[in-house]
Amino acid sequence: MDEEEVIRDILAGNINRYAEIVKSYQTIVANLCFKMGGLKLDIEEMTQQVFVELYQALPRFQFKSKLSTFIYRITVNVVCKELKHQKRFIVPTDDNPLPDRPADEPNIEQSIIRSEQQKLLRMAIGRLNAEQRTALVLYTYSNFSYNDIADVMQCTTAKVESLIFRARKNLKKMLNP
Amino acid sequence: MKETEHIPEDELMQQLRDLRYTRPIDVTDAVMERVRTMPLLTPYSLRRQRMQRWATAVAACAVFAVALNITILFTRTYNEAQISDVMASVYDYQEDYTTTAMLHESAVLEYLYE
Repeated sequence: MDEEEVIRDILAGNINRYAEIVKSYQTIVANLCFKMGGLKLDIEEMTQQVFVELYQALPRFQFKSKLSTFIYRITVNVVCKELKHQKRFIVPTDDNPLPDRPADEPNIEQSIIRSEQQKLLRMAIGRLNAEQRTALVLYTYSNFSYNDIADVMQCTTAKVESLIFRARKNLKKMLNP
Repeated sequence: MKETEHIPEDELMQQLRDLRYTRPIDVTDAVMERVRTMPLLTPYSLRRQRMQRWATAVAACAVFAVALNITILFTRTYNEAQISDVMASVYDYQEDYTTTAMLHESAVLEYLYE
């Protein structure tokens, strides 16, 4: 799919071609929402919202960066806006302790342990601040480089490195108190 | 470890990488339905949108400037009123003082002529 051609087509009035973009990127967007949103978001609703906002923002796309970078930026903004709206940037305090870690006992099925660990991890990610969370999630997503993340977050590479370092440190502290 | 050093791979990072949304997702129809009801943005409408934003910003600046002017004007009037009050009391004092001085002067003269 030639993305530039598709976008120009959409802007010329052929809205139906927008479905091609949605189909190509919906899994990526859903995954990013899933990783960034902690346990708080309705992933399908969020994914829809991202594509609606992308549609509105499409005339602003100037073909200077990759469409994927543009989509990631919109996804990050939409998720952060939603979380802020719901006031769900929970500050880690003793009032909201994480549940106990699932014991790695042999009699419990591996899949349950794994699913519980993932739940814990997502809760911990949800407790990071917006910037740290964005940087860390993008870093562990599709092998993003620091430059790519800086592009999405519109900041410097040094800041991205620092944010990832702190996010990782905080996450470890939360998961292994 | 310095903050800018490369982050080593470990279990946590691997877990983060493995975190995936596993349910099948297809929002194409829902998105297309929503998008069809929206007006299509064109470079022209985008320009108009920008112009509207500028107009709003300019209007906000104008309102702010007017409010600032009114505040300054009010403060100045208030200060002037305060100054005139002080000056009035100074004049009163001066007047009293002059009267007293004149009284003293006449008493002295009376004494001398006596």
